[in-house]
Parts: sequence; C-alpha cells; structure tokens
Amino acid sequence: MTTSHRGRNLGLVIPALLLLAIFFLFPIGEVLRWSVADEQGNGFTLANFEDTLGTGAYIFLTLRTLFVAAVVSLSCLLLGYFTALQIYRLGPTLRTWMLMAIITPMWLSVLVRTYAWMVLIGREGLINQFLMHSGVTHEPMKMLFTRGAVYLTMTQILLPIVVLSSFSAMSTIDPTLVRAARIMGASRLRAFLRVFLPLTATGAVNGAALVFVLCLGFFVTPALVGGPNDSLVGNIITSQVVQTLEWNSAAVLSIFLIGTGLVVMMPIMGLARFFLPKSYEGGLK
Amino acid sequence: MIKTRYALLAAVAAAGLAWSAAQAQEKVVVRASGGGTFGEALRRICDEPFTKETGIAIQPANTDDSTAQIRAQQLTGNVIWDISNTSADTIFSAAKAGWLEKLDWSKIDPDNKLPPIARHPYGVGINSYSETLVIRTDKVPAGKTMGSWADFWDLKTFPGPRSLHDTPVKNLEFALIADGVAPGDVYKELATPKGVERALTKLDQIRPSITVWWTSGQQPLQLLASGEVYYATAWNGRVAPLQREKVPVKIVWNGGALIVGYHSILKGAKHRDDSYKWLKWCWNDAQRGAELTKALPYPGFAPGLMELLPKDLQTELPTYPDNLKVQFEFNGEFWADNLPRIQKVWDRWRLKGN
Repeated sequence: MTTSHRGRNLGLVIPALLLLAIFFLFPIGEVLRWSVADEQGNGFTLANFEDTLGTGAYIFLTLRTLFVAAVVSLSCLLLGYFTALQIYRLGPTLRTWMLMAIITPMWLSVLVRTYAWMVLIGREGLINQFLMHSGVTHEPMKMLFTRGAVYLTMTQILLPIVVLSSFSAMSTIDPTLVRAARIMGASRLRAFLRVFLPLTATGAVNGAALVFVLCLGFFVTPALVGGPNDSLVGNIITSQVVQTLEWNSAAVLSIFLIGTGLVVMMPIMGLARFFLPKSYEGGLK
Repeated sequence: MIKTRYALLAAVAAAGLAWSAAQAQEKVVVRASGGGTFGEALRRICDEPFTKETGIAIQPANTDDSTAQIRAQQLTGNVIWDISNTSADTIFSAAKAGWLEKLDWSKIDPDNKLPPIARHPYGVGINSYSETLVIRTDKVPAGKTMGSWADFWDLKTFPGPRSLHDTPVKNLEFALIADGVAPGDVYKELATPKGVERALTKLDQIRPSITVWWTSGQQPLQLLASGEVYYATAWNGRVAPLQREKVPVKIVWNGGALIVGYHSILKGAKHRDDSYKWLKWCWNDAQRGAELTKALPYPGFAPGLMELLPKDLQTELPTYPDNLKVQFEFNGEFWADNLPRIQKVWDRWRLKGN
C-alpha cells in the first residue's frame, strides 16, 4: 500500500470520525461534566457521587440492571447460536426466508413488540384464556409483571442480533474443515465441538456482548412488563432527567453504569479473544 | 470528480442558507405542547384559524415532559421554543429558575375576565384535569360501592390487583386522605418528614396489591381494559373513550387531585409579541375553549365556556360543580419545592420491594 493510498483512506474515515466526535464524544463529555458539576452545570465537585452512590439504593439498582443484562445476553447467546445453526443447515431458499423472518420483527418498534407480549401473557391474555378454556388451569397464571416477563420480552426483542452475528460467522468459515475432521475420524459431535464451534463462537459472543450493552439502557420494556421490583437503572435516570431535573445524579448514575458495565464486559471479552480463534484463521491455533 | 463534490457541497450549503432565510422572514411562533389528540385539536381549532386571521404560522413541537427541554434551551442560550406547556409543578420550578417570561396580562386578558386560577404570573391556565380513582365496575364485589381512597385501601372488602403512578406526587396525598387527613391539610402534613413517613406507611398496607406502577398516561386505562388491574389512578380525559368502547369503567371523583396545566412564554423567546397574540386567541375565547373541551374533556377557563357544552359532557368534566367540590386542588408549588427531597425517600421505599 502506497502512502497516497493510505492518505486517501484516512480521508474517507474523517466524516465518520467527525460524526463520532460530535454525536458521541461531545455528549459523553457533557455527561461527565454534569456528573462533577454543581446544579447549574458549573464548577467541580465530587459531592454528586457521594450523594447518589452513598445511599446504596442506586448501587443495588445498577447491580440488578447488570444481572438482568447478563441473564438476557446469556439466553440470547444460547438460543441465538442454535437458531443460527439450524438456519445455516437449511437449503438456500429456505435459509433466506428464515433470515427474513428473523429480521422483519426488528422493523417494529420496541414498544409495539412489548405490547404484543402483554396481550399474550396478560392475566386475561391469550395464553391464560386458552389454558382456562381448555381446563388446564382454573386460575389465571401470573406471567405478566414478573421478572420472567422482563427476561422473556427482552430476549425476544434482542435475539435477532445474536442470530445474525452467529450466522455471519458460520457462513464465512470454510465448510471443508468440518468435512476434513470427519474424514480424519472425528465423530459428528466432536467435529462440531472441536472445529465448528470454536470457529464460530466469536461471532456469537460478539453478538451477546452487543445485547448486554443494549440491555443496560433498556427502560421501556421493564417498566411495561416488569413487576413492581423490576425497574432498572434506566428508569431512574429518565425520571431524573425529565421529571425531577436532577441531572447531576442522572449523570453520576450513567457514568457508574457505563463503568460497571465495562468492568464486567472487559474481562469476559478479553478471555473470549484469548481462547477463541479468529474466525478468519480458519483453524485452531 | 473533486469539482462535482464541491459543487454538491455548495448546492447543499446554498439550500441551507435559503431555507434559514425563509424561516427568518416568515412570521412564526414555535409552540411546544402535548401531541396526540390534544395537539391535533389545537391545530384545527386554534392554530389554523389564527394563521388565516393574522398570517402568523404556528410551528408545533410535541412534548409531554417539557421541563428538561426548557432547561436545556435556557442553559445553552439557544431558545428554540416561544411557548411551552408547563405542568402544575413545572411552572413553579421553571419560574423560580428564571426560565419563563413574567406575563403581561394586559396583552392576554385586558378586561380581566379570566378566573384567578388561570392567571398564574408565569403562565395562562389552559386546561384542568383530574388524577383520580378509576374502577372496573364489574369487578367490584356485588352490593358494594367503591367511592373513596379509604375504599381503595380496603383490601378486605375490595380485593384485587391495583395500579398507581410510579411517583410520590399525588400518591402521598391520596395515602394521607385514606389515612383520614382532611384534603385541605394534606400539604401541611406532607411538609414534615413525619408526614411523608406516614403516607409511605399507609402505602405499605396496599403494596402487595399494587401489581404494577404505571409510568405513562395511557397505561392505567390499558391495564383496566385488559382486566390486568381492577382499580387504578388515571387521568379523567382518557376514561370516556374507554366507556364508548363498552369497557365498564367509572371515575370516582371523590378525593381526586384537580390539576391545572399552563402555557408559558420562555425567557428569551424570539417571537414574544406574536406569542401573546396566540395565547389570547386560543385561551381567552369561550367558543374555541368549548370546541377544545369537546375534543378532549380537559376544560379551559375562558368565561362562558361551560355553558356552550352539552349537559352530558359537562358532568364528565373535573370542573363541573358536583365533581369540583369533592376534589382537592393539587399544589404544584409544594412539589416544585419538595420533590427532589421526597423523591429520594420514595426511590428508597420503592427499592425495598413488595
């Protein structure tokens, strides 16, 4: 690659960098500033961190948020990977249709999909009506407004991300590698576990990481389908921004959430990087 | 290649300039207000005739929670809105912070016709609504009537799932009334930490029956309609549409909080004089007020408005005399001063779990 080529490539990156600087770095900087500023957004003080994190209640809420995010990303990881695997094994036409079926729900707003679940799992919802009419149960089962409903709805909303990232990892590896393993005498399961899974896991893990990060910011879904004890830190942050106008506290919580999120994510991603081969290497290390 | 690129840039820049020039020339007022049915009614009943009459265009901006945006505009010095909706508590905190224009009433109400409740120093009262108890009549045990906050708290006589707004505002008032405090003394009681404690202890009693804490205005009605909860607090205006869909719901006016909404002019608004014209046009005119109330049952304060409405609509309104006398007037100033303090106690209480 010549220098002039490199220069032109850098030039192509500039618009993206500018966009990031204006719409990502600057707002993040503002949040940081508000977390250490006074109520008017001036000066420097650490009192906000003391006030907000000192009571312990919000730390508990952040931990709950991290826990919910972990459960949802793990269930997305498992369900998504095996869904992708089944799609990968289909013929080309069916495969396209299945992928379409996975992607189209993403065109709907999160709110609509959340309400759809409420119709299904509500006290007088379709599932309960069916169960009661068919005589399986006599009392409506409590499904809506539980933690389980939060897991279920968030997993369903975010699942396509892991399916797509796993599928793209699967479709880039060389299929002859698995065949080679089989010819060398590996059983189907062994070939899958030793060759296919390691090569494609990175894609699935990256998807799950994305799901984890998205979960941290969820607040509409838990507010609608969760019970009284399922609100996440995002709920508190929104109410502090738009209702009580405690921007300092909201900024502190945002920084704390991003911070703890990174602390949880980094080691996991680091381990994944270390142990899993890069998919483009096409083989075990 | 490079030339075309520059030409394209230049064209975009020129178009941008032309657009902003057009914006500057046209007479316009930027008005932020609730969207949906209300925004649509405002456009049809106030904005369009106003533009026809005066040549001043109204540019609507839809928002439910205006406070944060008013604050952002004032902090950055970039005041985009001229008029904004301000809720009963927002208006006090925003006025104290110096974000609102002190109104010149000679421009809105020269003949001094509007009632005092509509003449806030920093906002004209545009409507009134009630946050009150709404019940599923078919879920009330036979032979019983639910008619007060004490009944709402009575889990023995009226078992079943309930829903309240996820905020201390108004819930603490309701709890104290249920605990026997006279509606007129509620805010005196809440001003002390002991009063807040008392309200929360009262809320503890029904906590196991609060299936869900609602966060947006449509939610409690949806919960009532789907049978998810039997009794909930809700805003009165959303009940009538549900009744028309044959859902057996009823408003209990007794103990409800009567809340006034305002329109204010922002400090530093770019089109102040035209904003005054619109405020007078829309909110000090009985005919237009009556039309708006027909679209959404949140009556305004223009004198003579009530008389222009059919009787069956009048009785559905929070300001109908029979309904008015059993409610209490929501004290926005109290909450503007005390919300941050009480919210912290509330958040901790909520996190303790059911």
